[in-house]
Amino acid sequence: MRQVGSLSSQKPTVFIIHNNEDVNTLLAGTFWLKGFQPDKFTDGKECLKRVREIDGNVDALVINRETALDNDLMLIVNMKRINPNTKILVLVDEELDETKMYEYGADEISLTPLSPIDVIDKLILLISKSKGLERQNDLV
Amino acid sequence: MAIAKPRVFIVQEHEDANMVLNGLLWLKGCESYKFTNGKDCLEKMSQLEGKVDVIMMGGEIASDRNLILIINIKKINNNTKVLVIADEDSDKTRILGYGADEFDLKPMSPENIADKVLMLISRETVNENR
Repeated sequence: MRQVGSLSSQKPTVFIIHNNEDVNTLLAGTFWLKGFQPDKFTDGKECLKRVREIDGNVDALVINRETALDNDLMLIVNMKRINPNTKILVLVDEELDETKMYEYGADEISLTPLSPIDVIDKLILLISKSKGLERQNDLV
Repeated sequence: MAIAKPRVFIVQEHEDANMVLNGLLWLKGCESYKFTNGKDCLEKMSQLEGKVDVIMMGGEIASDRNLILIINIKKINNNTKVLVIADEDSDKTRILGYGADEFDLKPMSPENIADKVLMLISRETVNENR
């Protein structure tokens, strides 16, 4: 099992999808320094194409509200179909349509303002929580 | 009279990480330059006649046996401090043997790395004043 945010030979992969390139750069850079293997996209279609190319081997997605609610793309639904274990964190600037996003399959919705470190901490918690549950299920 | 800003080089293969650190160090009052490979770093250092206070680099670049970047940096200016931030500690002994002044492991926040760079700068200033 890959460790998150700590010493590991195989880094956890995270895809960042945000229409603001500066946000993408800031998050990707910080994720890399925190020991992740980040990849960034300004377009959800590109991201989904990449996900399919690598057979859904992505630990987490960090996406913005617009991408999460894109009815043509249905990124969250499609991502979960390819790999239901990929964690999805949605960054929003208003508390609207949260139910819809959770129904699509988002694992967490976080309201901005957030620092890059806050985003990473939330994601580490999300991944660790699911790994903990996996371990519990293995024991049962 | 203008006070010269501390000069810092960032050498990592990840451009986004370089941008984040470059911006942060600039905001903290440093004159920072970023490179994605060691050759460009050495070239710029020679151009600046070795006048670089701290060089922060990634573990893979630091452990490159062909480039031996740290040794070459120290040849140009032995007083330039070198900070290495690596993914794993398998090459730690070799990197320190090359002459790195500090070795740390990820995960690290950009703020922590910037603080370490500033600490190395202040250590250098204290030594100069002795």
